[in-house]
Amino acid sequence: MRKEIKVAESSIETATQGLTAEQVDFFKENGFLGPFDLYSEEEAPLVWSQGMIEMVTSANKPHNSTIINYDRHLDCDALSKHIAHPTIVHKLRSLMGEDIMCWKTHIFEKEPGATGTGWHQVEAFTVFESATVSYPSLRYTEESTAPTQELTVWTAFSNADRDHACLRFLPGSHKQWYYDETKPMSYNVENKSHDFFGYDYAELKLDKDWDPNKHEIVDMELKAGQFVIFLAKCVHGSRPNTSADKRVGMASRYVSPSVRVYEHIDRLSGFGDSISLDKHGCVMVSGEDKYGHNRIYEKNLNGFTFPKVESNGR
Amino acid sequence: MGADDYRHKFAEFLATQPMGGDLTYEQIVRAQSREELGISSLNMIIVLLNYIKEYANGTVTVRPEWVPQLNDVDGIVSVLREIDASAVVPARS
Repeated sequence: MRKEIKVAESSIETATQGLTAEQVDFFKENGFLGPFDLYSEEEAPLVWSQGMIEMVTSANKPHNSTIINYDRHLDCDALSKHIAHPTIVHKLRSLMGEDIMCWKTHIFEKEPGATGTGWHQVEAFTVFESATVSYPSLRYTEESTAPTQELTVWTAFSNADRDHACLRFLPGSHKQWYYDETKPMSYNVENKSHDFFGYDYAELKLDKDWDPNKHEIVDMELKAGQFVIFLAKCVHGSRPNTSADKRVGMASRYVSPSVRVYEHIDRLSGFGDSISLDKHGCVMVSGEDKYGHNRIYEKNLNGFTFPKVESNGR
Repeated sequence: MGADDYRHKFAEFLATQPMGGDLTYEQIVRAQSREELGISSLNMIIVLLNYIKEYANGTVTVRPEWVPQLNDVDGIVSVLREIDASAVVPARS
């Protein structure tokens, strides 16, 4: 069953406002919320293009991989600004409070004809050091009753509608575990069932008979410049790109500074490549780090000061 | 220079670049898209930066509005013309 669920922003909302109580309730119930306007349709590809130029010209990159496209907000000014955009930060505050730390970004490009991304559900972002040894990327040091331990903002820098590989969610699926993210998966890019970046996430299903496609599904269509906020624990995936255009999106991920990031991890592997985390750091986009668990960058690796939304809303 | 001349100029320049090294002059002249050339979007920006160094003495900054144009050869040629036109130093032919 597919159903349209969209919570439109109030027309009187300004960039400095957060979410309404109704929107917060919707998020708690469904695990996602959007679309929200961030950039105009004309501005979005220019922001992305500027980011691409900076990826090439950057003197100090967070890693040398051209395959693993993580964390380019750490060296590209356009993306450094993006992760701390006030329109994003004010909405995150409504869901997770004042102290917000960006710990990761991830670029998601889908070429024309690319298959959809399979259903998946994560929270600790488990990393495998070997077939049997794994560590969580995130260790939550404080108990939380809110369903907002981590938040992902996925911004479309090109149109991401049904033909252009839009994201899809199973509403309410963040309330229970359908997959065990602590178990390893087999990697095989040639196998069609391996539709999670070469892995078959279905191997992690807790109930092998459970079929996510029989669950209610929401297609989150975004225009270029719009974003959606979601819990990575809300089961999600994407449609295939059946268009003639490349789809470009970027996920920026946020947690409280109470969370320990990459505590026992110094390298990430995937997509046939590997990167060092020697230059990794987190960015406070709002509030303060009262914990000191993580390396915090105030400037990106090329010296650009990360913007920060002040507590008084300015 | 006309569009055809610029296409030839692009072909000659790309043949000097590491990412165009395996392409023949004829392949480059006939190609319609960047994809046909087998060059990634980021590598095409590098080609553009190298072109600016070579023909504009580094006096031109890559503009974000040029990046989408780099997906097809006509667009690339159009950008090269803009670079030559806005270069502070006289463009080398």
